[in-house]
Amino acid sequence: MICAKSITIEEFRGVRSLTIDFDGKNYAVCGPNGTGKSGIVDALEFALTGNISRLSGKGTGSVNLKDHAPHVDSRNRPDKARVILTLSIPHLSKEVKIDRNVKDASSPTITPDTPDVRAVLDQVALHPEFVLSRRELIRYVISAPGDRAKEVQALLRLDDVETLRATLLRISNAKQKETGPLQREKAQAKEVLLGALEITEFSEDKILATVNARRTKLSLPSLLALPATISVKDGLAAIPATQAAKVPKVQALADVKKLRELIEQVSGPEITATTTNIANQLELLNANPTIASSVSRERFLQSSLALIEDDSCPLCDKPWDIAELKAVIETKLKGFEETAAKRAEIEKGLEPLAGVLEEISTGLSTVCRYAPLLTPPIDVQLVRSFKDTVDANRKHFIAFMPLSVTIQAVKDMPSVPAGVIGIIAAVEAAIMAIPEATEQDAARDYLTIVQERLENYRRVSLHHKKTEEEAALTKQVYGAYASASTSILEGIYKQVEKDFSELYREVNKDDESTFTAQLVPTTGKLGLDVDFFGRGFFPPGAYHSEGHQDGMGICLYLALMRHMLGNSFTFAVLDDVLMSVDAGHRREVCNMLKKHFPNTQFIFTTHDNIWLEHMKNAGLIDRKAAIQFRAWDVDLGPTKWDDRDVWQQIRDEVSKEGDVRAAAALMRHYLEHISAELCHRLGARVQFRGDARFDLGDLLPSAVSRYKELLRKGKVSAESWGQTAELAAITSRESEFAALVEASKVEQWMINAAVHFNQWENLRPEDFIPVVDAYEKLVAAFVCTNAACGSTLHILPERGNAEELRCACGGTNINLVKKAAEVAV
Amino acid sequence: MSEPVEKPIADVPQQIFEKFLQQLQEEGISAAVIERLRSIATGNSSLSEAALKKALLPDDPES
Repeated sequence: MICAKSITIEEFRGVRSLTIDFDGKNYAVCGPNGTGKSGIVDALEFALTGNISRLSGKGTGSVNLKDHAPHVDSRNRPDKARVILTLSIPHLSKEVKIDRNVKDASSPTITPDTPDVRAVLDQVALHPEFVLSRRELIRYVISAPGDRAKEVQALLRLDDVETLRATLLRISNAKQKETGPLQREKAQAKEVLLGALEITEFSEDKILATVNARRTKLSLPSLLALPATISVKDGLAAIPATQAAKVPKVQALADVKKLRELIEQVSGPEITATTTNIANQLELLNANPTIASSVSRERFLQSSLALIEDDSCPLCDKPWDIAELKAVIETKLKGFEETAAKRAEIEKGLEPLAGVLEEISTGLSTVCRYAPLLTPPIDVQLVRSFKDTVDANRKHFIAFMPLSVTIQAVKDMPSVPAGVIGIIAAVEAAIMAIPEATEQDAARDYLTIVQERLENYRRVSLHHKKTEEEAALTKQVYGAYASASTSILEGIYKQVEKDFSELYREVNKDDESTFTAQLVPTTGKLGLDVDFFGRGFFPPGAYHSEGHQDGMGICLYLALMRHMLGNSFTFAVLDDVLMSVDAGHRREVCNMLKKHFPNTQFIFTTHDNIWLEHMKNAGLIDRKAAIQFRAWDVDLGPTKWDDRDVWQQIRDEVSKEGDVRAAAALMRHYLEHISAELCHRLGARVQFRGDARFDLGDLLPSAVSRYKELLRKGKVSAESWGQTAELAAITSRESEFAALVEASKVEQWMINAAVHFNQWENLRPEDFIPVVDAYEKLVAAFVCTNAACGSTLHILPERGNAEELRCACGGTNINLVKKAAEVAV
Repeated sequence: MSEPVEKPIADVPQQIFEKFLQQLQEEGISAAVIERLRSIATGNSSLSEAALKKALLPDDPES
């Protein structure tokens, strides 16, 4: 998609003024901690996205881009804090310049500003994951499965999938929740109907039997079935009543009796104990202002979550990305999980109490309906007023908030005013005083009331059935989505898992050549288990070292990025991500990056000079493709080494500081490092040390001797094949190398103490500098002379008999296998 | 080593949605529901809770 050509940074983070030429190639920024490396990473991210992840998002508190991206001395001039990034976009064959300052971070000047360039830059801005720091790396590897799923889904841009899954689940859950109260309402309607029918078994036969018995008394034909279209009253209108019965005595007595029983029940010990217990729990919640406030907030957030429909805040209409806003609210809700659990527990206790209040309310309504029809009519104002109280309390039980009101409603529940009880008794007595109806009138009343309650039961049943069907549908739809997403994601994760395992095996082929991993997606989670030496699968943090975990992190990141961006994965910034990987595995990481990501430009930062040398020696970066920061100063920003490498640093120690001791120590340290590398690459024999602490005397002479041996073999081979030009070239190389060895006196260390490396620190500056020159030239003899390659020579194969001595570009390629002797026939 | 993926997988949400609709069809969910879901996914409106409710439960007074 893109690769970086150069960057100019002005008054930005810790940098005053700095230009780096990446030249579209892999590049390293090296320097001790606190020398400004991260400023380069921030500048790259800022230029491409207008943002700096480290200064925004979770855990950044009051730090923000506008105030803190400019250099501290330019904090009031965000327009001066500026990054100019020159990119090339290979598939458009265009070079693009992005000039962005902190003041107008969202409005960079882009040259050329064409739609195709904008489209590419918009894509890049969507993927700030091109910057990988160690903190992020670890998130992929040792985070909890739920968190890892979120990280990976965010990386793979699967947020919409998760949002849709969660929405479908919420709709389904809400529908399932509706069925409970309807189930209770249906049971209550059935109970009331059975009371009117005066039977206990709810079956069509029983209902028809008792209904037909009444219809017979009225000379009405029996009903054969009870479909919804049939009324038990069919034909009743044609039969005149013998007596104008205003109140159906039998049913009215049954209704009043039921109400009395309910009132006794709420005043009884069981409900009193329940209400006391719930009131106590509510008092506890209410007594702690923090918790009480949490309950309010939690319910508020739950409501607001349900209200988010469009890309705006439901309260203030401020534009938001819908997924982002939901994520913000869901994160906040997580903080109220304990409060939510307590609230749910109390609400569960309140639910049956609300049901009882609803039944009482129905009973009170019935009494109020009968009372004015009695002789004399009875005043039920007090009952009506009590019914209003019961209805209000029931609503408070359901609303839950405000807590103080709900507490009072719960406490009030068992107390029924004596006046109300007295009126109910008076109504009951008046009903009892009604003369017995004739059998026919009783049957008429019976059928009328049964039909009314049957209709209510049918209505409630229908509603319940419909809701149950909707609940089943939403559940099935959610299940189908969960199953479809799991199936597709499993396919992706399987591929990522395969790639990840292969990359990791390649990096760790010496000790984990059979490594495998399991990325296991379950709804909303992504488990990662890795093989530990064939002993089973465990989380990465269980047994693997920190270094291995770092290796896993980068391999997983690379596998994910490749799957996300495909061939567009052309640019990545690896910010100090391999600091705990040991030297052997770093070499393999370099090889892996070169081999599998040849079209990706990596910008590395590291505080480790040796790691930088590894990258150079492995040919991952060109020898000049690095900037090294020596120190950082608030006035000057990073102090770089101006393309001077370690040899220049050694000379500087002598010429500027006059410190031969420090220069000698640095040279010895560097030569130990490079000699170990040479021994490895050339397959040199080094005397074994149990403590693995090889010093320069163990390493460099072995590397020199091995190189000479390889050149000799090369000559023998060239001679056997009759390759005179090659023979001459190797002979020349051999002579030149011999002269360099002679100048360095490395082969005299054992026999001449005066030239031994231990004596370097005692030399005078003018005597030491020639030694530096000699060793610099000696080390250079092991490196490809092609400046663009600059890789260290190595043998192939790595193990077994060496067949080839070559560099990474193939410019040096010496055959070591001599022609087999021809057998005389 | 596996070959690099040729194309980005930016259309994964779309892939999932297609498979989801196919699965609904296989499970005998009414064609009307599937069509309504398809139309909100292909239309300009976002897959908001309200839109999904309306597609799944058109008779629900709260949809």
